[in-house]
Amino acid sequence: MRKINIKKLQNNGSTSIIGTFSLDHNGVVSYVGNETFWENVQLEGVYTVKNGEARTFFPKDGSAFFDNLKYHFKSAYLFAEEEQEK
Amino acid sequence: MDRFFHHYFLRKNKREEILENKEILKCDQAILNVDQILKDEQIEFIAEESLSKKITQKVFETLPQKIKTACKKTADENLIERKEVEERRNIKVGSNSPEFIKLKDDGSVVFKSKEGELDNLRTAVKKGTYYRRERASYIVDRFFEFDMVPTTTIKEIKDEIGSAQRFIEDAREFCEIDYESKQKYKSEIAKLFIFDYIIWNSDRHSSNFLVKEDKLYAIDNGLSFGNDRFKPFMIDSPIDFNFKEDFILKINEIAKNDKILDIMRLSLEEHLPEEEINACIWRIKNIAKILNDKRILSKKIEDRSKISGMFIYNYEKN
Repeated sequence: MRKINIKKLQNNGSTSIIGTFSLDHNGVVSYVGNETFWENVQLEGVYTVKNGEARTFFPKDGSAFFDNLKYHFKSAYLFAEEEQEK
Repeated sequence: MDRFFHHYFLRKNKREEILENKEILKCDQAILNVDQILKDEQIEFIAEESLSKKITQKVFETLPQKIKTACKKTADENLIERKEVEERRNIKVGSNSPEFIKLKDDGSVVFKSKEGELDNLRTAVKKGTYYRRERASYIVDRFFEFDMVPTTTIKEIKDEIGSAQRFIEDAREFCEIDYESKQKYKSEIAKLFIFDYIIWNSDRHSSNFLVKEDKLYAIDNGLSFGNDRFKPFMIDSPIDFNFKEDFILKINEIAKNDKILDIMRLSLEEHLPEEEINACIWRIKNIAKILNDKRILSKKIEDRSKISGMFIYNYEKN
């Protein structure tokens, strides 16, 4: 099982987890955490530009969605942490 | 005492007078408010406070009062550039390495070092230039008075150079708020759409702009200005293009004033290649034309290029 935490930067510089994405061995994405955030992700997907081409991936895209989380959530205020294998 | 502080103290009496009259609390924010009040007064030329080294005293003296204000660094820019660092925290983002920096007695900034920039995020925007583009985007925002980009400067911290952007406390990413709450930001998002067109930003989505109360903040502007084609992304939230009259006037004021555009060009030269500045200025004139003709922007992209391969947005008649 692969996991990625989504973290939020606090006013004092510390961070807290707002949600966690998981990818199981069958390539299915699941999520636990802030519901509003999850609703927005399901609606808008994750967006990346590679080689001049913009692409959007949704949770149903499995590993393609999961692998692009870190390129989408890369703001200092809200970001995807390094992947963990569990 | 360096010239900045000399200048600061010279104006101290005037500041205190205003602070007393307005009964504003003596805090950093109040100092910024005072600077706003002082804006219309005579502005002294100090080379270090100019947005560009090329804006010399001779050039400065020829400028109308309003442009003089635009081409000088704000008090907050000077504070961020010069304040000592009290604490550094690496945020450990999966794809780059911004830092949360606490400045001595003056709030916090997000620091993105040149060294920490990742490669291959956009073909035409090379690694090692993102931090300059953050600053360039802020400069454009200032000229238009959009007031969306938090104060962003170039700062050196222990031999590392990068962009330092004022941290907005208690702000939320747009992707953290629900559909109902998003509705009140429609006009701000429309403004953001125009701003992103002007700076040719390829990296705008709902997790790189912030909201706090009624205000929107455009952060993460490092992937901007590149001389290339891409399909811009717009979030799916409803966007109307009924821009306020004063917003259109502001775009026109800049697009039609070559003096302002020249000063903007000088201010951007330190950060961007010439052809990217040319393309930016072309987009400013183009967007003014579109808004004046009361045409609306469509999300469709016209598959042809103008100026060094730049895409332009297609438009539709109202």
